[in-house]
Amino acid sequence: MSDTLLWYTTRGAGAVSLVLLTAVIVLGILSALRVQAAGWPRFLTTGLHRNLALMTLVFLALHIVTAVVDPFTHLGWLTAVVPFSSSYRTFWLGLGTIAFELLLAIVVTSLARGYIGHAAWRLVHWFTYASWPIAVIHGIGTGTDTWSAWLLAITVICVVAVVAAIGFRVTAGSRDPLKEPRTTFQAAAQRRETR
Amino acid sequence: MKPNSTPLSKVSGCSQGRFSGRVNTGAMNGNTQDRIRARDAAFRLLNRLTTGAAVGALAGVGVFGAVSASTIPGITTTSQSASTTTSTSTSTGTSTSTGLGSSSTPVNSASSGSGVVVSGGT
Repeated sequence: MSDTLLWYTTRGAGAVSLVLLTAVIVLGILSALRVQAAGWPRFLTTGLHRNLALMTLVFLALHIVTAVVDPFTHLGWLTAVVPFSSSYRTFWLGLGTIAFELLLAIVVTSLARGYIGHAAWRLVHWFTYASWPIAVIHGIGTGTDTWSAWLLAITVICVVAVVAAIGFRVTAGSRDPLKEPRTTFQAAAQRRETR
Repeated sequence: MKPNSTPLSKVSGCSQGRFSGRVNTGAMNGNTQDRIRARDAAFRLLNRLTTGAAVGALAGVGVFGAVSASTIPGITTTSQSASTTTSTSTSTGTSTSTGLGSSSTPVNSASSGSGVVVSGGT
């Protein structure tokens, strides 16, 4: 395979990974908000969120493998695992490695959620909010196409989508239907303890 | 027998009320069938969306790769002489193939036209 083809594939897979990761984040926020509609039950949001997260890993793997085997950069496999170990664009590639490892941890803990418990899973899942911006900064810093109109447009759309989803989540508050009964119960339990 | 105790013969053995026969089981079954149908439709939609996303993502790699290649193709220079063809294709700098890939010997057979690939060798 020619090295330019590898290079183009790396860039294409990187852009697709960013789009997929953005979709995963937005769907995750929507599922936390318990969004549903007629013909769109909540499990559809959750299922799509999970499937796209797994798909993101596949395309990230393609992005990483094609970058590592590209003979021009001589990245080596260690770069894919150990952050800031590359001699080529050390900082920006290191951010990419961190983002990938965070995402890997999130996916693995999600698959093992039944074993590790809800609290641990939730704690690790908060790292999503770190993983995504690190991935975006990695793309901006490393990417050859960063200032190309097409990738700039994709990046802007992704940033707007995630910022809008986060804003929606913050302003919407909790949609937990059990929140009020739980609060009432906890207050009653506290009153009973103090008696 | 203790006072205020109920003899076992009076206990029904069932914690729930007796079936009155006035429950509309037809409506219940219809409602359940509707829910099953809605769930199946949602699963089908999930499968379609996942497949569509996978196909779209694969196509996206190709499309974005092609677009990136057309915007920033790297430095590609092609010089031709009667007997050798040199093609330098660079990601962001170097990767040079001379003549026939890894062959370091000059190519003997001359190629006409604008092609880069030359058959033959030594």
